[in-house]
Amino acid sequence: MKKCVRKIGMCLIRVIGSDIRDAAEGSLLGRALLLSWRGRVYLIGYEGPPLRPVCVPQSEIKYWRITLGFQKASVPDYGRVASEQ
Amino acid sequence: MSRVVTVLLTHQSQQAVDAMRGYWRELDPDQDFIIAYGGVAADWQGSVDDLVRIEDPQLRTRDHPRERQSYHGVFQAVAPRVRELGATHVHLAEFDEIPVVSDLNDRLLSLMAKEGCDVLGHRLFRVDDTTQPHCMDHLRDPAFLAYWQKISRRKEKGVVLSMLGCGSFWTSECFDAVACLQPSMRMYLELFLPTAAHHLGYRVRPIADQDVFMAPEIIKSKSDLTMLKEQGAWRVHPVKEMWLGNVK
Repeated sequence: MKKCVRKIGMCLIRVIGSDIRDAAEGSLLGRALLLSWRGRVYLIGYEGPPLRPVCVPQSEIKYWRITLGFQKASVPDYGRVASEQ
Repeated sequence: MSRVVTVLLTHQSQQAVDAMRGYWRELDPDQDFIIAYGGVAADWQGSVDDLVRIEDPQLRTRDHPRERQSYHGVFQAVAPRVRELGATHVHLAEFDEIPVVSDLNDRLLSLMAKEGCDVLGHRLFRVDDTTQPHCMDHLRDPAFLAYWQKISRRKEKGVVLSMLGCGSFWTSECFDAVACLQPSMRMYLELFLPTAAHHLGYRVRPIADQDVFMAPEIIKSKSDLTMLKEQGAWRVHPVKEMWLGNVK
Protein backbone atom coordinates (compact mmCIF):
# COMPACT_ATOMS: atom_id res chain seq x y z
CA MET A 1 0.00 0.00 0.00
CA LYS A 2 2.75 2.40 1.06
CA LYS A 3 4.72 1.54 -2.09
CA CYS A 4 1.64 2.07 -4.25
CA VAL A 5 0.98 5.54 -2.76
CA ARG A 6 4.63 6.41 -3.22
CA LYS A 7 4.51 5.32 -6.86
CA ILE A 8 1.42 7.43 -7.55
CA GLY A 9 3.02 10.40 -5.77
CA MET A 10 6.19 10.08 -7.80
CA CYS A 11 4.21 9.90 -11.07
CA LEU A 12 2.34 13.06 -10.05
CA ILE A 13 5.58 14.87 -9.24
CA ARG A 14 6.99 13.89 -12.62
CA VAL A 15 4.00 15.63 -14.21
CA ILE A 16 3.59 18.73 -12.05
CA GLY A 17 7.14 19.09 -10.70
CA SER A 18 9.88 21.36 -12.02
CA ASP A 19 12.93 20.38 -13.99
CA ILE A 20 16.01 20.42 -11.80
CA ARG A 21 18.88 21.58 -13.96
CA ASP A 22 22.55 21.90 -13.15
CA ALA A 23 23.09 25.61 -12.45
CA ALA A 24 26.48 25.60 -14.19
CA GLU A 25 26.03 23.18 -17.09
CA GLY A 26 22.29 23.38 -17.67
CA SER A 27 21.95 19.61 -17.90
CA LEU A 28 18.74 18.02 -16.66
CA LEU A 29 19.29 16.20 -13.36
CA GLY A 30 15.72 15.20 -12.54
CA ARG A 31 12.33 16.53 -11.58
CA ALA A 32 10.97 17.55 -8.21
CA LEU A 33 8.32 19.58 -6.49
CA LEU A 34 9.82 22.65 -4.81
CA LEU A 35 7.92 23.94 -1.80
CA SER A 36 8.85 26.62 0.67
CA TRP A 37 7.63 26.69 4.24
CA ARG A 38 8.78 28.69 7.25
CA GLY A 39 11.90 29.93 5.56
CA ARG A 40 13.01 26.55 4.26
CA VAL A 41 12.84 25.03 0.80
CA TYR A 42 11.67 21.46 0.46
CA LEU A 43 12.60 19.35 -2.53
CA ILE A 44 9.98 16.62 -2.89
CA GLY A 45 10.32 13.51 -5.01
CA TYR A 46 13.76 14.12 -6.47
CA GLU A 47 15.46 10.90 -7.60
CA GLY A 48 18.54 12.03 -9.50
CA PRO A 49 22.19 12.28 -8.43
CA PRO A 50 23.01 14.13 -5.17
CA LEU A 51 22.60 17.91 -5.45
CA ARG A 52 24.67 20.73 -4.04
CA PRO A 53 22.62 23.89 -3.39
CA VAL A 54 24.33 26.96 -4.86
CA CYS A 55 23.72 30.68 -5.24
CA VAL A 56 23.39 31.34 -8.96
CA PRO A 57 25.48 34.30 -10.23
CA GLN A 58 23.38 37.20 -11.52
CA SER A 59 23.73 38.87 -14.91
CA GLU A 60 23.27 42.27 -13.28
CA ILE A 61 23.03 43.51 -9.73
CA LYS A 62 19.63 42.96 -8.20
CA TYR A 63 18.72 43.73 -4.59
CA TRP A 64 15.19 42.38 -4.68
CA ARG A 65 15.84 38.89 -6.01
CA ILE A 66 18.42 36.19 -5.57
CA THR A 67 18.44 32.87 -7.35
CA LEU A 68 19.25 29.63 -5.63
CA GLY A 69 19.95 26.61 -7.76
CA PHE A 70 21.58 23.21 -7.70
CA GLN A 71 24.66 21.56 -9.05
CA LYS A 72 25.35 17.88 -9.41
CA ALA A 73 27.63 16.59 -6.67
CA SER A 74 31.26 16.46 -7.73
CA VAL A 75 33.14 13.28 -8.51
CA PRO A 76 36.14 12.98 -6.18
CA ASP A 77 39.54 13.32 -7.80
CA TYR A 78 41.94 13.46 -4.89
CA GLY A 79 45.51 12.27 -5.13
CA ARG A 80 46.95 9.43 -3.12
CA VAL A 81 48.65 10.50 0.10
CA ALA A 82 48.82 7.12 1.85
CA SER A 83 52.40 6.38 0.78
CA GLU A 84 53.56 9.85 1.81
CA GLN A 85 53.08 9.05 5.50
CA MET B 1 51.85 -9.75 -11.53
CA SER B 2 48.28 -9.01 -10.43
CA ARG B 3 46.19 -11.62 -8.68
CA VAL B 4 42.52 -10.89 -8.10
CA VAL B 5 40.37 -12.45 -5.43
CA THR B 6 36.64 -12.08 -5.95
CA VAL B 7 34.65 -11.88 -2.74
CA LEU B 8 31.12 -13.12 -3.42
CA LEU B 9 28.74 -11.95 -0.72
CA THR B 10 25.73 -14.21 -0.42
CA HIS B 11 23.10 -15.65 1.91
CA GLN B 12 21.79 -18.32 -0.49
CA SER B 13 21.84 -22.13 -0.46
CA GLN B 14 24.79 -24.42 -1.20
CA GLN B 15 23.43 -25.17 -4.67
CA ALA B 16 23.09 -21.46 -5.40
CA VAL B 17 26.61 -20.80 -4.10
CA ASP B 18 28.05 -23.61 -6.24
CA ALA B 19 26.22 -22.35 -9.32
CA MET B 20 27.33 -18.78 -8.71
CA ARG B 21 30.99 -19.67 -8.16
CA GLY B 22 30.89 -22.04 -11.14
CA TYR B 23 29.55 -19.31 -13.42
CA TRP B 24 32.20 -16.81 -12.32
CA ARG B 25 34.96 -19.41 -12.63
CA GLU B 26 33.85 -20.54 -16.07
CA LEU B 27 33.92 -16.96 -17.28
CA ASP B 28 37.39 -16.35 -15.86
CA PRO B 29 39.25 -19.24 -14.18
CA ASP B 30 42.27 -17.08 -13.47
CA GLN B 31 41.07 -15.72 -10.12
CA ASP B 32 40.52 -16.83 -6.54
CA PHE B 33 37.19 -16.76 -4.72
CA ILE B 34 36.05 -16.14 -1.20
CA ILE B 35 32.42 -16.84 -0.44
CA ALA B 36 31.45 -14.32 2.23
CA TYR B 37 28.43 -16.02 3.72
CA GLY B 38 26.00 -13.80 5.59
CA GLY B 39 23.03 -16.18 5.82
CA VAL B 40 22.00 -18.58 8.54
CA ALA B 41 24.50 -21.19 9.73
CA ALA B 42 24.18 -24.67 8.19
CA ASP B 43 26.21 -27.89 8.18
CA TRP B 44 27.20 -27.70 4.53
CA GLN B 45 29.16 -24.50 5.10
CA GLY B 46 31.90 -26.36 6.99
CA SER B 47 32.77 -28.39 3.90
CA VAL B 48 33.20 -25.41 1.58
CA ASP B 49 36.88 -24.47 1.64
CA ASP B 50 36.56 -20.95 0.31
CA LEU B 51 33.63 -19.99 2.54
CA VAL B 52 34.00 -17.42 5.30
CA ARG B 53 31.05 -16.97 7.62
CA ILE B 54 30.14 -13.38 8.44
CA GLU B 55 28.80 -13.16 11.97
CA ASP B 56 28.38 -9.38 12.03
CA PRO B 57 24.70 -8.53 12.82
CA GLN B 58 25.21 -5.15 11.12
CA LEU B 59 25.23 -7.01 7.81
CA ARG B 60 21.78 -8.49 8.36
CA THR B 61 19.50 -5.50 7.96
CA ARG B 62 16.16 -5.14 6.24
CA ASP B 63 15.99 -1.41 5.57
CA HIS B 64 19.67 -1.09 4.72
CA PRO B 65 20.19 2.70 4.77
CA ARG B 66 18.00 3.36 7.82
CA GLU B 67 19.55 0.51 9.78
CA ARG B 68 22.96 1.52 8.44
CA GLN B 69 23.97 -1.80 6.98
CA SER B 70 27.69 -2.38 7.30
CA TYR B 71 30.18 -4.43 5.29
CA HIS B 72 32.88 -3.78 7.85
CA GLY B 73 32.34 -7.24 9.32
CA VAL B 74 32.81 -8.66 5.81
CA PHE B 75 36.08 -6.78 5.40
CA GLN B 76 37.34 -7.92 8.81
CA ALA B 77 36.38 -11.55 8.25
CA VAL B 78 37.74 -11.73 4.72
CA ALA B 79 40.98 -9.72 5.08
CA PRO B 80 43.05 -12.56 6.66
CA ARG B 81 42.05 -14.90 3.79
CA VAL B 82 42.96 -12.21 1.23
CA ARG B 83 46.41 -12.00 2.84
CA GLU B 84 46.79 -15.82 2.82
CA LEU B 85 45.94 -15.95 -0.88
CA GLY B 86 48.52 -13.28 -1.66
CA ALA B 87 46.01 -11.35 -3.72
CA THR B 88 46.97 -7.95 -5.08
CA HIS B 89 43.38 -6.86 -5.71
CA VAL B 90 39.95 -7.55 -4.25
CA HIS B 91 36.69 -7.45 -6.15
CA LEU B 92 33.74 -7.13 -3.79
CA ALA B 93 30.64 -8.54 -5.47
CA GLU B 94 27.15 -9.36 -4.25
CA PHE B 95 25.35 -12.55 -5.28
CA ASP B 96 23.06 -10.61 -7.63
CA GLU B 97 25.94 -9.00 -9.52
CA ILE B 98 26.48 -10.95 -12.73
CA PRO B 99 29.62 -10.56 -14.86
CA VAL B 100 28.97 -10.73 -18.60
CA VAL B 101 32.50 -10.38 -19.97
CA SER B 102 35.29 -12.89 -19.52
CA ASP B 103 37.99 -10.25 -19.08
CA LEU B 104 36.24 -8.32 -16.32
CA ASN B 105 39.25 -8.31 -14.02
CA ASP B 106 41.57 -7.18 -16.83
CA ARG B 107 39.21 -4.29 -17.57
CA LEU B 108 39.06 -3.29 -13.91
CA LEU B 109 42.83 -3.58 -13.53
CA SER B 110 43.38 -1.46 -16.66
CA LEU B 111 40.96 1.20 -15.44
CA MET B 112 42.61 1.20 -12.04
CA ALA B 113 46.04 1.62 -13.63
CA LYS B 114 44.74 4.41 -15.88
CA GLU B 115 43.19 6.23 -12.92
CA GLY B 116 46.17 5.51 -10.68
CA CYS B 117 43.75 4.73 -7.88
CA ASP B 118 43.29 2.27 -5.03
CA VAL B 119 39.51 1.88 -5.16
CA LEU B 120 37.08 1.87 -8.07
CA GLY B 121 33.40 2.20 -7.29
CA HIS B 122 30.04 2.87 -8.83
CA ARG B 123 27.98 6.01 -8.34
CA LEU B 124 30.86 7.72 -6.64
CA PHE B 125 30.23 11.28 -5.47
CA ARG B 126 31.48 13.72 -2.89
CA VAL B 127 28.36 14.22 -0.79
CA ASP B 128 29.26 16.21 2.34
CA ASP B 129 27.69 19.44 1.10
CA THR B 130 24.84 17.91 -0.85
CA THR B 131 21.26 16.70 -0.54
CA GLN B 132 22.36 13.05 -0.37
CA PRO B 133 19.98 11.55 2.23
CA HIS B 134 22.41 9.07 3.83
CA CYS B 135 24.98 11.76 4.39
CA MET B 136 22.45 14.23 5.80
CA ASP B 137 21.26 11.51 8.17
CA HIS B 138 24.80 10.79 9.40
CA LEU B 139 25.72 14.47 9.75
CA ARG B 140 23.12 14.79 12.53
CA ASP B 141 25.54 12.92 14.72
CA PRO B 142 28.68 14.95 15.58
CA ALA B 143 30.60 11.69 16.07
CA PHE B 144 30.43 11.09 12.30
CA LEU B 145 32.66 13.98 11.24
CA ALA B 146 34.67 13.71 14.46
CA TYR B 147 35.69 10.19 13.45
CA TRP B 148 37.02 11.31 10.08
CA GLN B 149 38.80 14.24 11.76
CA LYS B 150 40.51 11.72 14.01
CA ILE B 151 41.71 9.24 11.41
CA SER B 152 42.20 11.45 8.34
CA ARG B 153 45.59 11.79 6.72
CA ARG B 154 44.25 14.54 4.49
CA LYS B 155 44.17 18.31 4.86
CA GLU B 156 40.44 18.52 4.10
CA LYS B 157 39.00 16.36 6.87
CA GLY B 158 35.31 17.03 6.26
CA VAL B 159 35.05 15.28 2.90
CA VAL B 160 32.43 12.52 2.74
CA LEU B 161 32.20 10.19 -0.25
CA SER B 162 29.42 7.85 -1.29
CA MET B 163 29.45 4.87 -3.63
CA LEU B 164 27.44 1.73 -4.23
CA GLY B 165 28.27 -1.16 -1.95
CA CYS B 166 28.53 -3.74 -4.69
CA GLY B 167 30.98 -3.94 -7.54
CA SER B 168 33.82 -2.10 -5.88
CA PHE B 169 37.38 -3.03 -6.78
CA TRP B 170 40.24 -2.55 -4.31
CA THR B 171 43.96 -2.88 -4.02
CA SER B 172 44.51 -5.40 -1.25
CA GLU B 173 46.60 -2.85 0.66
CA CYS B 174 43.69 -0.42 0.79
CA PHE B 175 41.18 -3.19 1.52
CA ASP B 176 43.31 -4.32 4.46
CA ALA B 177 43.75 -0.79 5.79
CA VAL B 178 39.97 -0.24 5.81
CA ALA B 179 39.41 -3.65 7.43
CA CYS B 180 41.74 -2.64 10.28
CA LEU B 181 39.68 0.42 11.23
CA GLN B 182 37.52 0.37 14.34
CA PRO B 183 34.81 2.96 13.65
CA SER B 184 33.36 4.60 16.75
CA MET B 185 29.80 4.60 15.43
CA ARG B 186 27.59 2.66 13.06
CA MET B 187 27.85 4.00 9.50
CA TYR B 188 26.08 3.00 6.32
CA LEU B 189 28.43 1.05 4.07
CA GLU B 190 27.89 3.29 1.05
CA LEU B 191 29.39 6.17 3.02
CA PHE B 192 31.86 4.33 5.22
CA LEU B 193 33.79 2.36 2.60
CA PRO B 194 34.79 5.13 0.17
CA THR B 195 35.18 7.76 2.90
CA ALA B 196 37.42 5.49 4.98
CA ALA B 197 39.64 4.72 1.99
CA HIS B 198 39.82 8.42 1.12
CA HIS B 199 40.77 9.58 4.61
CA LEU B 200 43.35 6.83 4.96
CA GLY B 201 45.02 8.53 2.01
CA TYR B 202 43.98 6.25 -0.82
CA ARG B 203 42.68 7.46 -4.16
CA VAL B 204 39.06 6.57 -4.92
CA ARG B 205 37.71 6.89 -8.47
CA PRO B 206 34.45 6.08 -10.29
CA ILE B 207 33.56 3.46 -12.91
CA ALA B 208 31.20 6.05 -14.30
CA ASP B 209 30.20 4.64 -17.69
CA GLN B 210 29.10 1.37 -16.07
CA ASP B 211 26.82 2.93 -13.42
CA VAL B 212 23.64 2.41 -15.42
CA PHE B 213 24.20 -1.35 -15.55
CA MET B 214 24.67 -1.49 -11.78
CA ALA B 215 21.81 0.80 -10.70
CA PRO B 216 19.94 -1.07 -7.92
CA GLU B 217 16.61 0.61 -8.68
CA ILE B 218 16.60 -0.81 -12.23
CA ILE B 219 15.81 -4.48 -11.69
CA LYS B 220 17.23 -6.67 -14.45
CA SER B 221 16.44 -10.23 -15.37
CA LYS B 222 18.47 -13.13 -16.66
CA SER B 223 17.05 -12.59 -20.15
CA ASP B 224 18.44 -9.02 -20.21
CA LEU B 225 22.07 -10.08 -19.89
CA THR B 226 22.84 -10.55 -23.60
CA MET B 227 21.21 -7.26 -24.54
CA LEU B 228 23.03 -5.37 -21.77
CA LYS B 229 26.33 -6.93 -22.79
CA GLU B 230 25.75 -5.67 -26.33
CA GLN B 231 25.09 -2.23 -24.86
CA GLY B 232 28.53 -2.31 -23.25
CA ALA B 233 27.94 -3.79 -19.81
CA TRP B 234 30.84 -5.47 -18.05
CA ARG B 235 28.56 -6.84 -15.33
CA VAL B 236 24.93 -6.41 -14.43
CA HIS B 237 23.24 -5.74 -11.08
CA PRO B 238 20.79 -6.59 -9.59
CA VAL B 239 19.69 -9.87 -11.14
CA LYS B 240 17.91 -11.35 -8.12
CA GLU B 241 16.59 -14.39 -9.95
CA MET B 242 19.93 -15.54 -11.35
CA TRP B 243 20.50 -18.41 -8.94
CA LEU B 244 16.86 -18.78 -7.93
CA GLY B 245 16.50 -22.16 -9.61
CA ASN B 246 19.30 -23.35 -7.36
CA VAL B 247 17.86 -21.96 -4.11
CA LYS B 248 16.19 -24.44 -1.77
